[in-house]
Amino acid sequence: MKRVLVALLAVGLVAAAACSGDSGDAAEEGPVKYGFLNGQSGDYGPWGHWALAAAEVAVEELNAGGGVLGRSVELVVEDNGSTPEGAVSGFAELTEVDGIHALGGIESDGMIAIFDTVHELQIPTICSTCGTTELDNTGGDMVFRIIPSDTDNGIVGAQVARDEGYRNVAMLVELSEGTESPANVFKAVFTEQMGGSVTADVRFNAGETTYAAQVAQAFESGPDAVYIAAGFETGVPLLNEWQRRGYSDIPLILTTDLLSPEIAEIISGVEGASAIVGATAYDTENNPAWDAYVPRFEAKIGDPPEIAFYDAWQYDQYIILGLATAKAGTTDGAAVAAAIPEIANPPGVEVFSYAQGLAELEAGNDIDYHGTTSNMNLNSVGNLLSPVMAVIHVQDGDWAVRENIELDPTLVKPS
Amino acid sequence: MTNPIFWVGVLTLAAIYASLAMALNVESGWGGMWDLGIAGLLAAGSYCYVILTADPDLGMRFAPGLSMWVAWPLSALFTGLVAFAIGAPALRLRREYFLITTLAFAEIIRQLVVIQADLTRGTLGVPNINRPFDSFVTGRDYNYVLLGIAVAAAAVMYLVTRQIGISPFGRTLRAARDNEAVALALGKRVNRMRIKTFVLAGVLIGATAPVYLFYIRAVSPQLFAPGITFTVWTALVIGGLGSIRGGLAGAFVLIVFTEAVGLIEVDPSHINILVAIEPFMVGLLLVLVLRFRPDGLFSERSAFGAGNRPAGRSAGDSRPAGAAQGSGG
Repeated sequence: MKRVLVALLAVGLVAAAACSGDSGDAAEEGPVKYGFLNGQSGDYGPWGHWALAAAEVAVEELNAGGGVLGRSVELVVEDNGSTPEGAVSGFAELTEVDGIHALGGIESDGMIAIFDTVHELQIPTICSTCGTTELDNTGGDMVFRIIPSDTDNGIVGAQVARDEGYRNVAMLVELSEGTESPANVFKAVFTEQMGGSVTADVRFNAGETTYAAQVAQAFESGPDAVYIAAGFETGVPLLNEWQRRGYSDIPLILTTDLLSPEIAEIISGVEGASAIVGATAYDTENNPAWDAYVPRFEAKIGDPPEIAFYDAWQYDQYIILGLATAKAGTTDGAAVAAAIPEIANPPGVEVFSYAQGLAELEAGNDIDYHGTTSNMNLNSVGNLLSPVMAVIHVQDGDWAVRENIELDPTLVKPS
Repeated sequence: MTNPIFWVGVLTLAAIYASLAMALNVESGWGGMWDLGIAGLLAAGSYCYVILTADPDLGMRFAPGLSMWVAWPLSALFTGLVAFAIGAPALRLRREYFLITTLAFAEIIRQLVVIQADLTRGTLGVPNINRPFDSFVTGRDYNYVLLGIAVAAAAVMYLVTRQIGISPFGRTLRAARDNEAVALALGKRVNRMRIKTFVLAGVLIGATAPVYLFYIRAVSPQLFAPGITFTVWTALVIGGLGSIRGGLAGAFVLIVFTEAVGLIEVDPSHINILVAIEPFMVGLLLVLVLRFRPDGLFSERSAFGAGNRPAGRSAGDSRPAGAAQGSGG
């Protein structure tokens, strides 16, 4: 026993001795390092390949534009296993081993786990896939979100349902943070602010053997439409069940995660079926940033961008970080974080790429970066201020933007 | 050279898993109860702690705002109660039936957390976990405080479980594991003893839960997926199921090894290969340990001295001959 206690004591002493070591502060020389902490395995694994490819496209653009602060940019990738524990240990590795200057790529639950540490270590962090309502009222000094929150997505879902004339909606909701958050907002707004009725609210777990009972419960409740909030891996068997049971006469309202090619294929294969998505910011028409991004992403991965895989937002975050670092003139975390709203918000020359933005900055002009999917204007807590939302539907076997809409300002976040 | 703060974090996580593995060893190594519900018990302890200490502004239905020093032991006791509620029916089962039942209970606990959203905040989780001494030590330096807490918790766990292991209760537990019929014939109340052990393991896991939360700094149901149970089991098997220090050694070897594999540098476009290699390497480690040290790094035999002395040789040793041979049963 004594030996074990001595060993434990030794561990403590070694750790204490290590106090005098390198502080882990990111260097002001060598490459500028941007971390990419993302679920390359686990629940978010299916998105990982797409997300990483988009991040690489962005970093290639930064380096092609002469780098940041005249230094090359290095993308340091860490898999968080799609778990909060993996996010904590992955963030420690990125900051203490790799010495990153800023972070992107993280998902909601991992972001919540590292939120306090990000502030303590002053690592500017852009969350490109965090819908969590937990960030609705916090952030803006070190953490920024460039994707609409689940609150926005829930509200726009209800708005679309209202505009389509649906009065009675059934809900099929997977039990996870990313799907329940918009669904709960949808339900509250649709029933409390629009006077709509929810005919069935069916919640289910991912990975179930069959969804026959849940699908029947929702579609047999007499709805005008069915709102489905699920991950796309769950969505495929769920919609296969919908297809088999012949409910194609009832329209679907889907959440963003379900906009995968597989699901478009299922829906387009059912005669008379209609699915719309009260979707997320996807302002891709006449958008130079989008037009420039698409061919490079396709060249990288061999497939076009997909809304459900959130790749475009992964790209935007690194362009923003590059421009903010250039604006700050340093990699110091606090300075870069302070520069993020400055380059993303008006006033300033509207720019659509890193090279364009850098040229304007070097000319001494303010800039307003417009991303691939939306303007990137941020409010005081680092959330998108007024994203242009898209209503998306299936057209010719794939997802297509039907129209862009703005959030109805009379609809408010439920308390 | 790698920043020491990183390794401080790794050792902290290793110490936490060591505590869990040593708690598991009491019920599974010595009690023969193969429990796959570690994640569920950890969730029970974690959520009890979080609810008792939560900021009332978070809008949870019950948030008494207790001090963490009060909530910590209460979390341990609550987890013991949950363990009793699980163990009372589940311990009527044996072997794989017990194993499946505990796995199911763990998932039930996780689903209860999700469903009781007004009490637990459901899938949203609870951020900003309060941590001891964080008003005195901040930033990177807090990592050393946390390491100290985790190592102290592991040391206490070691002393407690060691005391259990060498006590008459521990010897009887192992005897009943190896030959229940003999234990019953000797008048031992085996079922009651197993429930006590299961509850005790629950208390120990519940006592570890707040330390785990200090490390993660937030809680959500996703945290308690079955993966955590399998990690604890892997650590215990590597260290040596049934030995006193097996859980301790196994957790440090497993966690340090896993993180070291993660340090391998690859081109970003090949990250998927590294991601695939990590579990492969852990599996390889497990295979190698079991190939060359089938009882783990520390065997039960070495822990309790059997083999060095003739069986039944010393006065006062009530351990039945063969009980320490790890023959299972």
